[in-house]
Amino acid sequence: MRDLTSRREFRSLLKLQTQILESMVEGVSVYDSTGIIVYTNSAEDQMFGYEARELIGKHVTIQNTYSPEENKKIVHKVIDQLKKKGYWSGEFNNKKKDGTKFATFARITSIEIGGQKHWVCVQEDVSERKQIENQKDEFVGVATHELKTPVTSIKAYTQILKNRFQKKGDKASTDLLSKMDAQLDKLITLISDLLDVTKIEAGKMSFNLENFNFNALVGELIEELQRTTTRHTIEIKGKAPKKVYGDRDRTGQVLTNLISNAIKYSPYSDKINVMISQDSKGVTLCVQDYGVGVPKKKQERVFERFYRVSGPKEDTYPGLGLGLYISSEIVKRQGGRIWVESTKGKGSTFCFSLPIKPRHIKQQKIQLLKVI
Amino acid sequence: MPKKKILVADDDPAILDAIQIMLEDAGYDVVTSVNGETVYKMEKSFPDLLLLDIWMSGMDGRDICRYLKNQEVTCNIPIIMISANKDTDKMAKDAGANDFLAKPFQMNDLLEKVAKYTKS
Repeated sequence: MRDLTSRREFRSLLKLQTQILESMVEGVSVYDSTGIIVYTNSAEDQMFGYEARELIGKHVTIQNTYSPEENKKIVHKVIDQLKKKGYWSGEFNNKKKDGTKFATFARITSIEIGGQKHWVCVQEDVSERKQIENQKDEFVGVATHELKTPVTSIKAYTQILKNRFQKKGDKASTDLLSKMDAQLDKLITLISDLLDVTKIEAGKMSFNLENFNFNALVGELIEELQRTTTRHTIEIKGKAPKKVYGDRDRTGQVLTNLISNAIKYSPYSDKINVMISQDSKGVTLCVQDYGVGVPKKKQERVFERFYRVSGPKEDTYPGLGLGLYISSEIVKRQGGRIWVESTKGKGSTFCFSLPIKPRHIKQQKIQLLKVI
Repeated sequence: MPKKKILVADDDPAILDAIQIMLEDAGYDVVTSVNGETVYKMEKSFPDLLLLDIWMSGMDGRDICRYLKNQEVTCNIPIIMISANKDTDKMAKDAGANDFLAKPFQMNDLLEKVAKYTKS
């Protein structure tokens, strides 16, 4: 009698669970460890354009657009994350039965069915969201470009005036216009950073790769940056090999960013060290300051987009939180590495390394667009 | 010595105005154009230097540059391309431009480049 009740309860629970799965907006699929699909809910079937149960027995790779190699890599990543975190989440590039491509955001967990490991994948179509994101990035691109145009003429007019006052010997007005010009340069850096982020997001940041004199670049930039601070003395130690392969301007941008940060975040110390070293693999440059430092647990995050170290003291430092993100993208795209060593309250050392020898760098498609 | 003549082509009137004043203050004779077409079709009274925006309204500055560099009468006019995109340096050179300047620019950079290519 009890057996019957529990069986009835079990059946009704099963029915309820099936109803829940079928009512879900997200697609749910289950596949075994070899990738054969054993279950799909109706949202999954609809999302991929299949009839009910049509996907069952098929291999999961018919749902995506990856090459066998890429699929292997994904499987390894998923296994790795399942072990570490208990789940994997990320984006998939998928295709429908009719070949239409679309993107999903998926979460994968693992379960055991009859003693066999299976994967449960819950995913939702994010094509529309991605399209909106692209539109937003494009808008930021257009807006920043439009900002650049008037700033260019304002800067030009400022310099004309400064030049005229200088010729007349009016030092007070010349100094005033120098200050205005310096503030305009800050505004231009902000605009350029925003523009760079939209380029990175759209995959349109291009690199002019060549052998260039690394030491000369460092020397020039330090001379320029030394002029922006009266408090700090920037000292160079060490030398790089004569030629380093990469994009000279973009590498300079990384260095400028690291030194500007060192100046900004060490308002009470007077020394900044720039250390260059080399080994068989490449050249490494470190910028050391004796400023506020970055707490250990926040060190990994400083290279993230929009991330700014926040805390009672740090809150007073201005900025968009883009410089280190852009720097890390520039370094990574040139096959290099960027990292930080820091003790809170004692200072930070930001380093990046670049390979010396030319290597194959995937050039993103260069497009001349009015917006960028 | 007669003044060197610079032709400046940019579709933004304010930038054009500022560059004109800058160059006139530095002792150059300046002619401006907001229209790529007129630069494309110039036939006489050639300038000693052309400052050319890479994106003229509806016209690709690189096409103008390539065209002028391929004409016998204009191929020797130095061309400095100006662009708001600092990544277009290489594109400008590929189109045959002698030099490149990114917007916004430092006045001294502009004057140095102009002086360099107008030295006789």
